[in-house]
Amino acid sequence: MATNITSTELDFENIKNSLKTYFAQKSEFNGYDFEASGLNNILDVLAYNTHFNGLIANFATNESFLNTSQLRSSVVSHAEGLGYRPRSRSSSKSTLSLTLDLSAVSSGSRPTNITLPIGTEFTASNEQGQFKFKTRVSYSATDSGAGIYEFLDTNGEPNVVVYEGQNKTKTFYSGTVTENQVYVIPDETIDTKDMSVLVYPSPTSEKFETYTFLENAITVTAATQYYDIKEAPNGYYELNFGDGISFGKSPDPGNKIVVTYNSCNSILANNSSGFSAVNDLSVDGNSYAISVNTQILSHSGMPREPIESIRKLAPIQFSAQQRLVTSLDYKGMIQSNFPIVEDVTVWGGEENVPKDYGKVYISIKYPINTTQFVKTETENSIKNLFSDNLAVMSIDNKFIEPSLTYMEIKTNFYYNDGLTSQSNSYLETLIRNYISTYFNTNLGKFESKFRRSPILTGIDNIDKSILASKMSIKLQQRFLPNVGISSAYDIYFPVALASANTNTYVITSSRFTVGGATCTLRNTLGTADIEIYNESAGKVQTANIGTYDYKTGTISLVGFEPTAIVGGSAYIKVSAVPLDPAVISPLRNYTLVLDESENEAFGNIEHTETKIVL
Amino acid sequence: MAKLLSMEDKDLGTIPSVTLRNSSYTDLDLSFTTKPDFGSGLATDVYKKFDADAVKQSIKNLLLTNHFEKPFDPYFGGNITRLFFELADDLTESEVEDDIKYAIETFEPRVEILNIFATIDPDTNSCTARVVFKVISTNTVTTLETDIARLR
Repeated sequence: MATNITSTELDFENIKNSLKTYFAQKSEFNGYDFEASGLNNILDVLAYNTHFNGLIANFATNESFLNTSQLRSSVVSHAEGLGYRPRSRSSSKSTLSLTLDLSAVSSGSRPTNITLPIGTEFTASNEQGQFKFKTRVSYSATDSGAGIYEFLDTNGEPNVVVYEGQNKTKTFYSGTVTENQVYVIPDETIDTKDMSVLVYPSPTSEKFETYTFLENAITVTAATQYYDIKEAPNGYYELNFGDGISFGKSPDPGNKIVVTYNSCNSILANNSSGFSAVNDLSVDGNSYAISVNTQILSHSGMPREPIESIRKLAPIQFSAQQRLVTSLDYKGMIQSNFPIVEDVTVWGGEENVPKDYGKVYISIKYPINTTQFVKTETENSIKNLFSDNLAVMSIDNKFIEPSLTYMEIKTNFYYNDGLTSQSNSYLETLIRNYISTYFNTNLGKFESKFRRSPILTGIDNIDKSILASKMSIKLQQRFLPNVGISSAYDIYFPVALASANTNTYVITSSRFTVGGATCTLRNTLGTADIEIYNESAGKVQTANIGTYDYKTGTISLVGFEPTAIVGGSAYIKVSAVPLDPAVISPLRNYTLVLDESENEAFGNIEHTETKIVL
Repeated sequence: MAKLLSMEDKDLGTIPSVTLRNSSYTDLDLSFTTKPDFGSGLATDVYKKFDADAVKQSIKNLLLTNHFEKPFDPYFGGNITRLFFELADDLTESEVEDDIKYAIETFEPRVEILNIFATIDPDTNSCTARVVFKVISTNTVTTLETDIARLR
């Protein structure tokens, strides 16, 4: 008699059925299958126990690996094992132009230099409320000659950077010497980029030693004074010191450890404006109002790094080993250090069109409304803080704007009008909306591919009356022509295009005028030549205005001179049929988006004949 | 289940008829009282219940169970005590009887209900339920009488 009980199930009912199967093979008890019987109640308890043990084992196993962990504490712990430090909150920051007016003071009495100290406070507000900002470094200003002092950064620019948040202090006393003393700061709002750790020999001492962040350490000896801060399992932050033996100095018993950190509101403080100094600046015993000119709204405040980001970036950063060699190294570095970056793609110059050896091309997608100042600042930081130090020598960065490739979708679907009470136009709207939502959800990022069959499957499932569907696809690039000036243009598509045929046009365009006639661009049937077609006259206006190379997806126009663009827009849309419409895989800095004006759906009623033909 | 041997099985004559009948239903006695060891000092088994007794225990268990008490089967049970938290009126006894009938018909297919009587005592917030039923497989008629009361 088989007596095996399957114990690998997780579902309660399956476990209980397994136990019932066991009892079915036994003749001793035969009331087990009636839900109210005593034995059945015992089976409930056994199955319940097995069910929970199984789940706990399953959860525990999931939490053991970075890829399957669900708890933040587990993901952070696995990342730590890979040497990855998940980002804390980032303070929102802004750049101000500050001046001090001492023109009322006689020139002989005015100081040569005035210093704006670290921690000078400002307030600003947005729709979330008022926030405090402060400087992290000191700035100095010199007399302009007329008593106006403008504070400059180390580059001589009038850019005073202020960070949102307020200083908080936590004091610890080092206990008796034990292994690995950990000091927990019970605060989740820390911006770990802005904290100081001072160690006093005794609670009453005024002398102190400054410990520096481990990330900034170049060499670590037994005497190196460094601290390390990392996220604890409960979301707070743990402060660690060296072991005092070989890897960094450890505070002695009785030492007072004073941690001052910035507690920030992260994303809430973004877009703050109306900056003003909290206090006047004291110069030679007199107070002067600081004149503030906001250069940009506050930005870059971000919450703690989310779990999925840690899961993605930790292995990349581990494989990069603090070096920038492969494209993944760059992506990992940029995404883990610049939370404002929504998406990034990196490729080598040898893969660029045209080829450009010795360059690393970086294309960054920022949130909408990101100012050019912020973009430039981010790109400069990438270069100055990371690629100049970590990348291979003689390799330069080149930042390229993301390029949008629009898609034109025409969907034909067939439906049974007996299975729906909805109108044709209603179904067409449903399908257009579905396609629009699909693009918003799945595309618009670098390297995200368009696959036609999943969309068609989704369309077929929108309503039970929809029986079949098909979709024709075109890619569209937009270019700004020099109106009234004869120029040459190269228009690049991210994929190979269909080769010319004698029946349909592979290349088409939106309307423009040439000498008063409404025209479009198209390829000459059966050839790769581009011609200007005069729609008004119904004939070719100019033959051979250029060519297209279907393999590289490049259209070249020569001597193209439109007089105006029809429709009021500044650009001409050039559409092309891709070689393989089933999958569109954009390369480099191209991202796919939907041209909503070219998202069309057409419903066709499919009648089912029920007559019997004899 | 009963082993019904026939003449065609050719062994009716060789097996005593008393051994031909197994208990239809066997269950553990939920009191978990052990059998006496008669001074042997050896561990003994718990008592079992058979046939109508096993079914009776099952019905009692069913009536005393409230909804959401049984894991993954929230609507199992007579759920009678819920009525004790409402004011007793002329219909309460009838409601109790209906609940008992529904629970037995749903969860205890081994019996046929012959009669149900419920008597509410509003002063003690309790109910005495008397269920007369027949075990279908053996035609044994049995009566279960149980008191159900609020704990607080």
